[in-house]
Amino acid sequence: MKTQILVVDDDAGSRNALTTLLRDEGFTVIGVPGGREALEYLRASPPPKLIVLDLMMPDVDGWDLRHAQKQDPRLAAIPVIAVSAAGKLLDADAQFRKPLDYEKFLGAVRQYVKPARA
Amino acid sequence: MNASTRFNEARVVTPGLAFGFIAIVLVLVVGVVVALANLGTVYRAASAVAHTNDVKAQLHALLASLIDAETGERGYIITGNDSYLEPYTRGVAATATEIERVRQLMADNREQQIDLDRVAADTQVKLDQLVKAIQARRENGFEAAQALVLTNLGKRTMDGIRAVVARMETREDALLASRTADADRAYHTARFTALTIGAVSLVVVAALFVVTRRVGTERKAAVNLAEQLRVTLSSIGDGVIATDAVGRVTSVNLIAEHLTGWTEVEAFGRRLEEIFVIVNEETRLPVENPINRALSEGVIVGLANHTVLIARNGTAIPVDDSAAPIRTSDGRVQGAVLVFRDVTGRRRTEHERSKLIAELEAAVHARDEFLSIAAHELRNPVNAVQLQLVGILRAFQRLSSGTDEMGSEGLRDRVAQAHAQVGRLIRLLDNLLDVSRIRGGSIALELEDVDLKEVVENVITQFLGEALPGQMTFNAHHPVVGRWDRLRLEQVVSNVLSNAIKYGEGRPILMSLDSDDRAARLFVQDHGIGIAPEQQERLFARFERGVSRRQYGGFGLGLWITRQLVDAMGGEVTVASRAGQGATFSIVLPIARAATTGTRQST
Repeated sequence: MKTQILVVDDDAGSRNALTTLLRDEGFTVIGVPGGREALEYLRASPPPKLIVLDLMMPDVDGWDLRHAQKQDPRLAAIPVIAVSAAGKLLDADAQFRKPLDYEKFLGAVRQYVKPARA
Repeated sequence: MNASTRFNEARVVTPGLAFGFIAIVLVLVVGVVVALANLGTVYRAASAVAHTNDVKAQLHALLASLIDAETGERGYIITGNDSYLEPYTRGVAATATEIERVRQLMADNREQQIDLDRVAADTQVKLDQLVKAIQARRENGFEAAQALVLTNLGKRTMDGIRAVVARMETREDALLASRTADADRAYHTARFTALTIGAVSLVVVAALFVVTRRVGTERKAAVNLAEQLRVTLSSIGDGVIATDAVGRVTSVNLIAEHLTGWTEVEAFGRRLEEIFVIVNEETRLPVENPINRALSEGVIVGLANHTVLIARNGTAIPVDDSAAPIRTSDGRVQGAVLVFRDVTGRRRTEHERSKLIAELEAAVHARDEFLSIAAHELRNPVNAVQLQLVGILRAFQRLSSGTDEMGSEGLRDRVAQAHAQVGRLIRLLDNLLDVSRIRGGSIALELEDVDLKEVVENVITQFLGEALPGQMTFNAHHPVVGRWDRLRLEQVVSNVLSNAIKYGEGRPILMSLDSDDRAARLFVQDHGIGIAPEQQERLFARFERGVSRRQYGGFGLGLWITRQLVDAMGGEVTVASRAGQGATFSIVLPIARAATTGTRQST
């Protein structure tokens, strides 16, 4: 099944909990632990409908990933929801602070993606 | 030679004093001249009196001689006896001499000469009459002589002589009176002059006395002032060097002698630049001497910062100084004075203070960074717990609405994950609290027999949710029991293991434990990013980590706390690593089997 949401977060606890919840909502989700892995995935696979992006990560961080994404015409249009404990991504489509207000977050996700299964 | 002695040698000649001396000399010269003149007048007057008396005595003598001659003639006429002619002979003989004497005495007086000529002529007439009478007696007898006498010719001649002599005497008396008056005047003039000169001299001497005394007092005051200035200068706690208008040294006080290494005598007359050599503290390049500007521009000049005085023996002394022009009362710059002090102590204090400030700023910066990291680090586990709880809640909702497809297995898994995140939170909070405990020196150890192998196995279990499956392996053959604080030991192992997971890049983490009689050794080896040797010691400092915080979260407290706790238990923690090649942490703990058990021990 085609992946709808890419979750990028170096914190395993947060990443695992979020991907599990979104799958429960009926989305097809894949989680990666960093910007480098995210870029590898994006370049090798069909583009997802939405990227949920942590900002403060080792190596390639959220800001780096957003920059690389916009340089690539095939990926540039994918909406990004930034979810971070600190810092801001100015050109994000939506911005959330950890710990996450899950209901509001889910509302934002649904603006860009419809669940693959009911 | 120093300034004060030169000052003493300067003559203080006031115009008043000079005028006084000239005045008294003039008065004395005038006095001598006037006194000499008056003395001459008095002397001449006295001579004139003697002369007049001489003249009068001589005239009387002449009259007496004539009377003697006449007396002899009368006696002879009466007696006819030759012996009676003796007075006559004596008188006649004297008259010529006496007339000649009077003539000499009156040589300068024409009137008296004329009268004297008449007296001389009358005297001759008188003497002729006496001769005739004496001849008449001798030749013709008494009556013939008597007849001649009775003619009264002789008496009239005599009366004529007396009258002329009286006139001459009167004239001499008049002359005497005039000369006596001259002498009187001369005496009065001399007395007046003497008194005047005496008075003027007294006044001038008194004035001189006053002026001299005042000048003396002023000079004494000036000498005292100079001495006072010299003593004051040498007592000043700063170095003081004075120069003349072209920058040559005129005085150097004690402190300046001490600081520069030049004595005043040696320095006198030399250019200031020779004595006072200053350079920049850092560059050691010469600095412009402030006294040059003080002299050329007539302004007060402060020294540039970080100036060092190079003393005569080459010693470098940090100094502060300022130079100011010395102006005369009419505003002319006649020299300059340089004041400087040794600021070694202050410079050192400044260095220490700026070092302290830098340390404080670093500490404040580290604390600010720590607070922002703490916020970030606490948000991640709270976020995970929150999301797990949302998932658990929804699972229960589905369970009650009959749409559950997860089952109790999935639910248990979620609760376990939430529990693991809470454990992570607790570790973070423990670390935070330990920072303040350790800083306050109140870390308390509860020592008991603890099996380190068991502790490590428990910690590994706690980390199963964070590490990748099969990432961690632990190699320990037998229990290693020592007297340690179980909870602190768990904290130590947790910190090192979480560090290995965090920086291990998902590669295998190898743990091993061995021991001998004295110590237990735990090794935790990862194959991650590693730590450059120069960063390794910094690793154990508070709020430090080997990489930037943007890349790796964490308080930067774990390893610091680890070291404090291991130290407290008498052990040692070290790291061996190279950048990019992983790191091996070694924890060595003494196995101390103390006789007492369960005591609390504070470090």
